[in-house]
Amino acid sequence: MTLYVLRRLVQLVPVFLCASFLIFFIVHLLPGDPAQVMLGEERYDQKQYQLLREKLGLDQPLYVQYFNWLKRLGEGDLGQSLRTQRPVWDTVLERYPATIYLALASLVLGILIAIPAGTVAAVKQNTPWDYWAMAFALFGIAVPNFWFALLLILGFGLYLGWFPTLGYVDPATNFAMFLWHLTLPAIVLGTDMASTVTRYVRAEMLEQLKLDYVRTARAKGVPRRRVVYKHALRNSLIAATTVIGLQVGRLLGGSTVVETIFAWPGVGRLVLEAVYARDYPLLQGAVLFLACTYVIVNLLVDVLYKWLDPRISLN
Amino acid sequence: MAETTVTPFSGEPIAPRARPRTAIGIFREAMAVILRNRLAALGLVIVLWVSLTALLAPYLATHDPFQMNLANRLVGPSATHWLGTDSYGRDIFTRLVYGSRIAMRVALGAVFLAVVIGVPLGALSGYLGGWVDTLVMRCIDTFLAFPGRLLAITLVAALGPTFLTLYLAIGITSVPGYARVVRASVLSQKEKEYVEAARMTGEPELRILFFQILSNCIAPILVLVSLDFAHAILVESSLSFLGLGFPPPAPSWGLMLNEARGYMELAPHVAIIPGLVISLTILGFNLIGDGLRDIFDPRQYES
Repeated sequence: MTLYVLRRLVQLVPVFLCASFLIFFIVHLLPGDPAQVMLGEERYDQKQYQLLREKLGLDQPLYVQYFNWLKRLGEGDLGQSLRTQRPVWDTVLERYPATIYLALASLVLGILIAIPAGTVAAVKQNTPWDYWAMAFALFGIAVPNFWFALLLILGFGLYLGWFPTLGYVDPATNFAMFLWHLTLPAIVLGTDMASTVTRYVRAEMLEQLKLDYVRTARAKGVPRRRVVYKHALRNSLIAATTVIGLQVGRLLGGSTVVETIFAWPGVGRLVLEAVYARDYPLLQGAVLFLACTYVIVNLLVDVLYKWLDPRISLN
Repeated sequence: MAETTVTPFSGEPIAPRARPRTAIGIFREAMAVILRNRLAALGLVIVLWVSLTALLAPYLATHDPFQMNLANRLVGPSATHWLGTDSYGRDIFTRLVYGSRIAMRVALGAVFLAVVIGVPLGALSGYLGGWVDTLVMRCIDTFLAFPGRLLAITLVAALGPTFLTLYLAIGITSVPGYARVVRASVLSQKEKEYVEAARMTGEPELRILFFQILSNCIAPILVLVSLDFAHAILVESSLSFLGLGFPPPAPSWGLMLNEARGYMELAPHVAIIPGLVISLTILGFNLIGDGLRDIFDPRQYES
């Protein structure tokens, strides 16, 4: 197990290098010159511009810039935002809690919907229960998050006025207000996640119910309810862990779309802000941070899965 | 003794025949399978409908998609404007009709790119094995480690919104899926007797791989293609919703919703109708994909 975790960690090195390489060069394809961005729209003098380019190292060849960036990354320095002059690392960390809260709320909501819905759909296969659960799953898959968000804002925000249409309140300042603002975005992401997981739980459950141990248990006189909810469900959930884990990776990677619509100050929205502002270092830092989070969460999920089901081969 | 062949979708044995299946034969089989499944048939109807709309856009449109009429802003559905007008007084029906061209073209390009790169990569990887396989799979794993949506956003932001950029940004994230599925299929096929037979007749290796083996891997590729179309339409509309797709006044579906945000309380139809069209289109492709998958192999692509 330890060996496995270590090997996976070593495998992260090339992934990280590739990711950093990709991010650096894609970001440098962005039109516009950071020095120009920093000096602002008003006219600036050529000398000042040249000095700034030298200071930022922009006069050096691209590969030199890349290695310098990588070197500073190694020292834990993600660079400085062009707009605010603040360290990128601080900005990202400051924004990350909002993404985590939203991810956790969506995760809880998604699991609370998906596991009962998937189980009922499987146990009552080919009944209206099943059809409704599957219709829900299709709805979640077909309806884009941004449209669902708009509909919720329109219905519950603008018409009924039950929830705020956008914004964020820090949970430390006012927890009730925080939850109130969290509801709509969490419903959007939670439904999205639940639709995938419901289908998976249903398929897995159907598979389990066909297996011999279920028949044996029933033959031994174990009540059906107990067999279904204790034995089969538990085994299905082990398999569902992977799917849920992938979703956690996605959620913690920040949803640019949902965070933008609800003006939720997470890292997903930070990426878009950096794109609009042509803020190279911020964009690089934020994307790299999200990519690393995604990779690490996926690794944790694999390890968790292995721990839950020791039969899984680690190769 | 002749080996019994099995249809790629239903798994029912069919009579062995002298010639390998042709593309038309496979297409017919797929059609028969789709029609047997009512939801998949519904999906097919939706997809055909959207495709025809895209092809015939200039004939179906009732107005000019860019013609503004500020006196006629945000009016609801009527006889002249079937689905009402947007905040600039442009006809929503017409813009949706033209928008289907953008959506379908981007999806087509993205899926094409993914298939053209992913399928040969997976096929060679599975067939050759050894270091080629290791190298390709390592690259794919590295690539999969990167969140796709984030890559698409960064790429489109960096390269600017053109059709080619969108094909690339959306298509590239689907390549690993094809490579993996094709590799798995090729691995399961390459030890079969017909491959051995072809080899003995002296057919070149690559010809065996790309003509004989790949034609038996069509089913999983088809499933992936239809699901990928749905994915591409979703990503394109998300990007244009975020303002990263084609700039206004392009009649892109996502952009229409973005522009509707400020007016939806006043005129809910501007926010409801384009979203409905996007969702239906995505639903259509998903239903086809699900139908094919259920019949072909209910377990293989879950998740």
